Amino acid sequence: MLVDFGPFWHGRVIFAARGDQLARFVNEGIREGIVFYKTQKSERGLKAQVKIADFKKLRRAARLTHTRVHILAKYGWPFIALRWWRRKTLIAGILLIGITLAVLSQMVLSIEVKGNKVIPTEQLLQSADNLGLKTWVWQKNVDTRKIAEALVEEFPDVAWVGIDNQGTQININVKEKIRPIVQTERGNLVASKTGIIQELMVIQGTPLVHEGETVKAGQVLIEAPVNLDNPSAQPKPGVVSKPNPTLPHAIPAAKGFARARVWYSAEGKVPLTEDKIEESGRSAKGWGIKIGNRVIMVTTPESPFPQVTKEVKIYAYTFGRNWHLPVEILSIDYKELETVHLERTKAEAQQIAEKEAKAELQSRISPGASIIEETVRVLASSGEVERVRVETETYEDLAVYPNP
Amino acid sequence: MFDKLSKNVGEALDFPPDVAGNGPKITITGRQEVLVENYVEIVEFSTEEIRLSTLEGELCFTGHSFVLKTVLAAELRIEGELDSLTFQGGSES
Repeated sequence: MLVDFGPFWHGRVIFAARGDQLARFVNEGIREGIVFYKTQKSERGLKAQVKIADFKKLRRAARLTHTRVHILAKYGWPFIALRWWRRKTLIAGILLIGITLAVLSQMVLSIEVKGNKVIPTEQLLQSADNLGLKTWVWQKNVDTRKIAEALVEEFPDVAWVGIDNQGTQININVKEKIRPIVQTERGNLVASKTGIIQELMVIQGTPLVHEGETVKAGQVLIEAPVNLDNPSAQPKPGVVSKPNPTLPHAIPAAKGFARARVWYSAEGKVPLTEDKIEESGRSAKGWGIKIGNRVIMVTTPESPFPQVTKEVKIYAYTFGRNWHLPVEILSIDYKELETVHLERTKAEAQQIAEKEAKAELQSRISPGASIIEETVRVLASSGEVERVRVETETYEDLAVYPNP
Repeated sequence: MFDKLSKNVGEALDFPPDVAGNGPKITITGRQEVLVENYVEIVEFSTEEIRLSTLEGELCFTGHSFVLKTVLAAELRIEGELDSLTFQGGSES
């Protein structure tokens, strides 16, 4: 629907006139060149609309006919504009805020560096600053691709730099190169588990522990010999050997055994009463037709069991690669579930708990370890749950090379 | 004298009467809208009755919910439910 925009744009004064000669008042107005709109008579007089400029001309007609005129409403853009003009400071403030926001949004206000672990952030920021990426510069003046390339070239430890902007924030995403790790522990034999050393046999290297000592997992047991080279050999004069920082001198590995006693413990918890949901073994089958997303079941539309798991198979028929029938056959297998209430005696519960604990231990004991002793202890139960702890002592070789 | 002359000339040249005469031209669209051109002045108006003086007598509209949609010097547009239209007084000169 088209709205008549004219009255709004030019503005209208809606007024009421009271007097005895209203018809004459209108005639006099017309003579003055006034155009009346929506003129209507009511018990209280006359109600009409005139243009803003015409309203002043009404004065003469009103005086001539002894009519009293008063404004009911002012309608249109000129009045709105006048109201705004009276609040020009407010409008100016809103405009100023808008302009400020628009200007600020075009600038770089914050820079963040992400993904660096080795290279300090300040250093990266400093370099970015030197390349022209700093706060309070125009975003369009920052050539992010060029700066990213320059940063990769500047830092040898950087593999890749990506610069993206989120509004006024610039993110420098850094991926650092992964350098080979220089192993200080290489060649040493360390303890794989915590235990008490019973037998220490050093074939090569220096023992750092003695028999009877408790060692923690990861503790160095036998240190690799520092240098096996001929100690009397001297470097030739004038030849400076260059050490390679990334590839250390081939260190001969320590060799030996460290047999120790190791303790394991595991706990099993089994409640005396338990509700389990199991399949009862009863099942029912139903089939239906599937058209698009709609399923029409032909047989057994509802599950016959209250608790059920459903297995749905859909048979779709395709011709060649791209053609398939819109109708598919669907078969549903309903398998009844039932809640089984289990009640165990204390002895049964303890037996199951022991079994569980032993199974857990079995997975933790290193293969090849010989079991010296195994104790099963029934822990104080709260009445509902039986707790059993199995403790195993083994005799095994702890000395292993640390994982690279 | 001039009116009569112009009328006779108009008749002789086969002009339509609204061009030749000075009388009002009334256009009624349905019952809701009336357009009166060439009226002299408003004599009386209310929501039930509007009386206009024209060169050919007093023109009277009766009806209800009359609103003068636009009032110009030579043109008057009335909206409302029109019942009757009558001429009173005046005579053909």
